Amino acid sequence: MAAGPVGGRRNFLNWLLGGGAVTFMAAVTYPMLKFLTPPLTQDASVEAVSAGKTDEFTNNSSKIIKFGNRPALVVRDQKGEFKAYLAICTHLDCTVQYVPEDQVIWCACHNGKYDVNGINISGPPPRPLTSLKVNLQDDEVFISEET
Amino acid sequence: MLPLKKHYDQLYGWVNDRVDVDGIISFLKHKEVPASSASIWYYFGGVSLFLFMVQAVTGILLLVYYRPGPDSSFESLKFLVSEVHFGWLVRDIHSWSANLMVFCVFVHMFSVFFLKSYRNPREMTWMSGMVLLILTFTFGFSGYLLPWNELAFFATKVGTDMAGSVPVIGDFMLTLVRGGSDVTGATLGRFFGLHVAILPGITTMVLALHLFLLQRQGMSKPMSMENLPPDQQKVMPFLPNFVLREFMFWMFALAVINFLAVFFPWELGSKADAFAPAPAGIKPEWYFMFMFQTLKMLPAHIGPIEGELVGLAVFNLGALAWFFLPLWDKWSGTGSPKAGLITLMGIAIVGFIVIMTAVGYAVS
Amino acid sequence: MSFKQLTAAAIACILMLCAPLAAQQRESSAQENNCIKCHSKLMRNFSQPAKLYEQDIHNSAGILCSDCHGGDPANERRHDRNDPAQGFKGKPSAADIPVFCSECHGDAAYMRSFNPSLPVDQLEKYVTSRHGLLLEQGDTKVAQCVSCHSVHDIRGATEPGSPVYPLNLPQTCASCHSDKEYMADYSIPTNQYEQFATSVHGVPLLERGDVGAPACNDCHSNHGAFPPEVSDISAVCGMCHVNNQKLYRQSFHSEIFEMMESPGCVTCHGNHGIAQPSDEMLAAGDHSVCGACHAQEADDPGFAVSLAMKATMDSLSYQIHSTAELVERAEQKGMETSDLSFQLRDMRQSYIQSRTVVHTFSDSAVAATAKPGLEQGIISTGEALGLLDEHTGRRWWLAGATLVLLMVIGALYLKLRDVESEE
Repeated sequence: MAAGPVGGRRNFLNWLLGGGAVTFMAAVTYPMLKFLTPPLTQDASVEAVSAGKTDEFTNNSSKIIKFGNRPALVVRDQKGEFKAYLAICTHLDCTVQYVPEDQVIWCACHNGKYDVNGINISGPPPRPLTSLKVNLQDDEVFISEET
Repeated sequence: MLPLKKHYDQLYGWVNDRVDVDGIISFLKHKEVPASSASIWYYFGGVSLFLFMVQAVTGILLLVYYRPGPDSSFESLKFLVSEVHFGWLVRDIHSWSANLMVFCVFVHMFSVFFLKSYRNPREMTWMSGMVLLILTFTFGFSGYLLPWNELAFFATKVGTDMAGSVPVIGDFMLTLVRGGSDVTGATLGRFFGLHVAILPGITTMVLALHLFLLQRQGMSKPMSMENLPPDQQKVMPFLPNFVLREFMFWMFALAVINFLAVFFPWELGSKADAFAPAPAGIKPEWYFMFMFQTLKMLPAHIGPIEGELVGLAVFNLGALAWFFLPLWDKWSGTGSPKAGLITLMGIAIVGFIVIMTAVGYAVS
Repeated sequence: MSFKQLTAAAIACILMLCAPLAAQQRESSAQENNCIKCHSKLMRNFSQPAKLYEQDIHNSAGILCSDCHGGDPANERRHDRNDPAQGFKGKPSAADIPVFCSECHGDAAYMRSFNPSLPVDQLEKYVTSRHGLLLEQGDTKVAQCVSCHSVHDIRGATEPGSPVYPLNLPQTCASCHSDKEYMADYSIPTNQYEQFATSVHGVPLLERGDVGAPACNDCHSNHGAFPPEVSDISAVCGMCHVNNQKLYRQSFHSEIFEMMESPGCVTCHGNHGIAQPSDEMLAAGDHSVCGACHAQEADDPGFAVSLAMKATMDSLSYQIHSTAELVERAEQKGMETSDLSFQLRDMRQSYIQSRTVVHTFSDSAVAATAKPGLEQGIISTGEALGLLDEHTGRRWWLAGATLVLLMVIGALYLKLRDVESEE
């Protein structure tokens, strides 16, 4: 290595190049590592969604939760059994609700009615509600897609 | 700082004793690259290589989250670009770099053609390069289907339809390519295996051959330089001059890709639906456009044969001639007047590709 | 055994074998409907009833021609229909048909052996209907059983091939009610089907085959066909449109309409040609229904309410549209928008509810119902814009990355220059 000003400049340039290379590697490695870190929402498809604790539901009560980008109706019937359906009316897609006094799932748009099993019993709805799977785990109610 | 250098030297020495790294470095140090006005074209080969490496790295990263299958391809990609940190960046770099790589490969090929670098003794380099070109197209075609969106689905349908029009073996070829009679999840599976395993394997080997030949034979001299007396033939050392310039080019290419990724992001589109009607104006990727447009413009029948078939035959025969170019071109570089014809042919081909691509986009 | 005994035994065996065959012959001749045999060979249209009868639901139930028309189905020879001894009832006249059919269909015990759940009050209802009343007065042009249910190829009312199946019923009614010449003697309009076919009920029923939509009988009754009384109209509509009816009945408008003898829901919505409701029905403009009675000035208190309601609906509608557009843009760019889609659903729900609450004719009630939707809209728009910003924020990343690359290029260039200056 030549000494003196030329050597010093050469040294400086080598350091500059080295520094540039290191910065480059860092600028590439950082996004790569972040990329490989799994994000908070774990999965591409909606797996199981929690509808709350089992004791939040008295008998003959219901709750509407967000299931992916659609509403789901979770019903606990008179006998204490949990049932879940997509809360989308099969007539014209309005959001349905549970009416505990009549033990019926009701659609306010055109007075369509479904029983507690989601079967269409009165009014315009042509088909039963889409069923969802219910799993009780550690006193929590989990809703997932029927396979 | 000094102890660091000592450790580095020790490590280097240990490896050198076993593999003679010094020998390689001295070879590289002595390697010279012709320095002329034509030298700018030399970089396109290197950039193509760089972009291939970018593809490999981003492709491997994408593999971490991408899940092939008609029910998961689109969804996993959606997840990747919306939830994963820098997912959008990896995906966009991969998509843009693919296009840029095809472009650079074209430029590289035509620059080699016009500089007549394919002459003796570099015939194998040219032919291995042609294989790489085909591999690049296949990479592009197979990769394009993987997002499983509407555009990809129909572009693949139209593209693979061509395979079926070949006489005699057409149906067999179609079924082989599609994994069935229609484009389905089976096609996706095949294309995926092709894109991430088969093609990278073959490409690595052919690329190694191509680079080995290049290093062994050195860069060819442009003909203008060949006519000069030896002491006037300017050269530059491969290491560090050429390499430094090459790296600059590579960084520049990366900057271009980053810019494109941010300002011209690739859309997700809508998920492929086999039963939906084809959206209007389906066209293939730009590097297939000239072929697509030509075939569209041919009359339904030329003589007794279907127009499309004639077109395909002409393309295939032309490609074959192009592949074996170094073996039948005896005129370039000999000063023969026929050499000019070859150059003219090249200009005509480039012109045809450019014009048909432009027409293809103009009519859509 | 002697030869004689053998012969006797053989004959006995043969006879024993023939007996079941003979019995079978007799059995089938008892079931056999010989009427069909001859009548299906008659020329021209005379053969139609016999040919059609195979498809008739009465045929499947084992009912023969003779069970309605009299006569002897076992008879293989040509009959004399004027001979009272042969017991032919012949073809009943139009005026007699309802009673004729009701002989079986009104007999609960008899019907139990065929279809226990089928109603038996058709005649009871029919005599109260407009058709029944006119028929009693001697008008044979009106509809009776056969006019709607057809004859000889009668199908169950729940079968798609039946003329009274909901998808077919409007055309069946229209076959008389839309015929201007036929209806010339009556003072009612003949454009009901025409209007219905383009209405918000007719399109789903007739074009999309949605049997959830009402056909003529759902509002007019089938056997007891009669236009609903003015005061009953909201009850009829309210069978499906429950909340609209409830709110309307509670509002002051229902009293006023009753006083004016205005036909309830029909006043604003029409009867057969009910269009898809739109916000244009409020406030001013060509489609305004409020403007039909109220002076279109802000001084008119009723009109002022209408203007206020329109303003609320407009702002909510706009909010939903603009949010939806932003969400779609974000989704196309590859951002995660399922939360926002869910919120949009809630906003649309709020919009539908506000529309229903219009029937209270109280602008404050509408505003209160629309409020959650509007508030959600503001939040969702903010979130959507945030997502789009995030997208644009990538430009900052680009600036940083480009800086690094420029730095590297710069270092390379300087080094190169240095190396080359040596040479």
